[in-house]
Amino acid sequence: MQISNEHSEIKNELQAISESLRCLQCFDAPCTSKCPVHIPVPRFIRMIRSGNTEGSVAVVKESHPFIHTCGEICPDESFCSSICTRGKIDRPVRIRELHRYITNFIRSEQRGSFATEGFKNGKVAVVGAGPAGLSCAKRLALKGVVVDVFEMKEKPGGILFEQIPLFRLSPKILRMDVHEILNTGINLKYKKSIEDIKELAERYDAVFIATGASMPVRARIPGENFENVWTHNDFLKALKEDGSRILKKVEKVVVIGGGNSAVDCALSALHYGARTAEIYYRRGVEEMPAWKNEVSMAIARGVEFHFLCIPVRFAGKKGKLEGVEFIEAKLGKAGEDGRRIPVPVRGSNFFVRCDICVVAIGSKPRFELIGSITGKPEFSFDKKTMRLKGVKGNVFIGGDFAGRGTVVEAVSDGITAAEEIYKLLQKKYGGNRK
Amino acid sequence: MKKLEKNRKIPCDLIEDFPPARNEYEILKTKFCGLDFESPFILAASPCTDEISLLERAFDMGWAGAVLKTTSVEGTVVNLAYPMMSSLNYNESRVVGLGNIDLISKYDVREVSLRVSKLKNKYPEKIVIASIMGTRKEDWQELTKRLFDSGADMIECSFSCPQGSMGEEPGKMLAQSIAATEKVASWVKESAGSKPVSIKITPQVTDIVEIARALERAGVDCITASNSVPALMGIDIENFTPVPSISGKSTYSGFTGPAIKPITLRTIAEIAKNTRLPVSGTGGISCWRDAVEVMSVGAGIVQLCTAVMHYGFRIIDDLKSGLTNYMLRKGMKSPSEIVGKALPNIVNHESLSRLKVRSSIRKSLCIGCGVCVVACRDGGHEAIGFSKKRIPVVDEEKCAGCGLCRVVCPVDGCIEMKVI
Repeated sequence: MQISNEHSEIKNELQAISESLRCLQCFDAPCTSKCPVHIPVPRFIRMIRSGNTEGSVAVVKESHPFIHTCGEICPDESFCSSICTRGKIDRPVRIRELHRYITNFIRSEQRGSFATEGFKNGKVAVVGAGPAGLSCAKRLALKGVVVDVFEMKEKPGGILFEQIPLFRLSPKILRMDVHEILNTGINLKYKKSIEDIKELAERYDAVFIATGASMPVRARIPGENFENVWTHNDFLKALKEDGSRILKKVEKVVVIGGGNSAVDCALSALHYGARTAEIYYRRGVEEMPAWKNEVSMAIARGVEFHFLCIPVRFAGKKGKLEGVEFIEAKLGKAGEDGRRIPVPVRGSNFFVRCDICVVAIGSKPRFELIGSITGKPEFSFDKKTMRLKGVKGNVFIGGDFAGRGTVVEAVSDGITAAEEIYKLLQKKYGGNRK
Repeated sequence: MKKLEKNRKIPCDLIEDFPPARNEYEILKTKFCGLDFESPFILAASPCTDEISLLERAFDMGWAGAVLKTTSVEGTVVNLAYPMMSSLNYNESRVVGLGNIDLISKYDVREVSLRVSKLKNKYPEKIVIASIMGTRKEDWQELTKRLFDSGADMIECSFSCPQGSMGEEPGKMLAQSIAATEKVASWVKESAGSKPVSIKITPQVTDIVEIARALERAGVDCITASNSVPALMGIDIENFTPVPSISGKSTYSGFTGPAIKPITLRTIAEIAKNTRLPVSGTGGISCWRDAVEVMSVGAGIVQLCTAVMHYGFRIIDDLKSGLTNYMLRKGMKSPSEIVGKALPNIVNHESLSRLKVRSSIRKSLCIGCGVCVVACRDGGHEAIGFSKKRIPVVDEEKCAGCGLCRVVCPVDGCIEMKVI
């Protein structure tokens, strides 16, 4: 997103005030309702207008623990800006850019200490230190609850740390958010892989599971074990660690899939030195789940899109990938999810040579985690409270684990769960003792 | 001196700022105080009219005339303090109002007389008005005589310099005293004889009509209404120094520009409704629309200054073409048809009809921002509700018809006040 908005970046106070003056200050503002964490947009914009940037930052911080990160990567076209009333006059207010501007303002002067609300009871476990988990942990910690966060990896941030490409989100920015969260006094335990939720649920007052969607969906076609066939998770992770080495002398990268991660993989491939990157998607352009402006940015950067192509097999020699065989498709009847199902056209097979192929057709959470407590692989949860159904009532889930797609939605889940957990603790320990 | 002025000329690469004056504006010819103006647009006494090179450029570009910056008798000390300008900015707009602590011209009457004759020689068809300020009777009368002798078409007397007129009560404006105004005005008129004299007054008085009547009694030919409004331009809240800061100190400025137009309109309307004196309108006129407004409440010609100081003499092309197009659209043959046109519609509050009006929101234009909802809730009568689909709904029982909603609505024509 950083890339697509280079031209519209707000660089100084003059530009910020100019943009903030375009805000109509709507009553019951639609931008705020549309934002998953309900940032009071007109309020923070009003403060930019008067030159009260500090006040403005405080307003945004109150509702959002990842303000720096979301300033960079939030797809505002899908949220606040999509519904901005100003758009009915000329064009929407560049809300995320204003958000980003004020967060830039505080980058130089981090404040460390936090006053908690004085609640001195309860112990909560959070599994996964990604956007959802850390948001939940911060909110609870600020209330005075003891929070233990269990992270499988050696660093916090989850998907932000592992997979979001560097050119979208610099580690510096992420670190600023994470530092502030850790400053609230949560206990982060690294390299702790949790297998037994049940035990955790007994030991703690409540558990919040936010381990993301770490299991990539397999293509389930022959040849998936060739050396240069990657899952998108692994590919993005590896590129982030050592992209230029992996893509040294690579002519062509083929990405299979139509979501944002497919676009990310293709863009990253080009970024780290692949000559060409092509995306093959089994449905049409209209059906693509990737955000429209992501797609147009990818096209602008030279990513080639091929629609209505179903992969048939990976071809190669001696365990090494040489190319992918596709078959052309046409769209048939609508499936269960309302999207039309691609039907292969007989005899239309074709072969695409490539050095690397990335399968980016989605990820699923590690459902086994929950199996340990519910006894079955599937689960359901209450979307209003993020509470897992069919268990004792102290297990909550959120983020990609609950099927979300964006950071800001994950943050929203974390906050919702934290508030619910807090209610639970208050009930258990009796009110807010100050 | 001649050489110096030549050197002062602005380089020619700015030529696009100097459109040649066009002569297709016959329709704008205006007769005022017995003088023939090419158009009703002249320059007010100000820094724009203090140098001959500036005046020549303005005339070349098509201004109909100019009031030269106020002069005085030889030996008058003009002790300027710099910086003198400051600005009222609002939101993104710069110079919504201009503050100035300038004084009269540093050129005395001898120099100004030379300039007047030089200008009249070179531009016989342009109207050159000399502005004067004096202390004693002899000063006022001598200034008048000498400037008329050198060819000035008219004399304007500054009775309202916001830094205080010279004379009886230092620091106080002459035009704030009815008696002094009448006395000094009659001195000048006595010296001028049949030639036209205008008095530039201040809006800063208890009753402008009393001042205007005093001038009528003194027999002057015209009122220039009105001068800048005395104002304190602002305070730097970091160190509590007023602006414009001169070593941390400041004084009250003369406030001009778009922000004071409503004050000018009221001042001129009151004069025009209560006296027969022609009015030379000035104060907050920035474009031809403002000029039409000011003329419609009684001004025969208009003077501009702040707009020129901000955007340059070049604005004359739009002033003239805009007014011409407006007059053609309205079927008018002379700017004099505009003069006083709005006056019959300006009445006392008691005379207004008491209608029942209600706010009516056009759904087809409404963008659903709800700004009217907040304004009515917190500044009106809690009469506008908001539906789930973001459509404002007026409660006719609660609506008093104040019109606040219409004022704040960002879409023109969306909210109307309907008579019921």
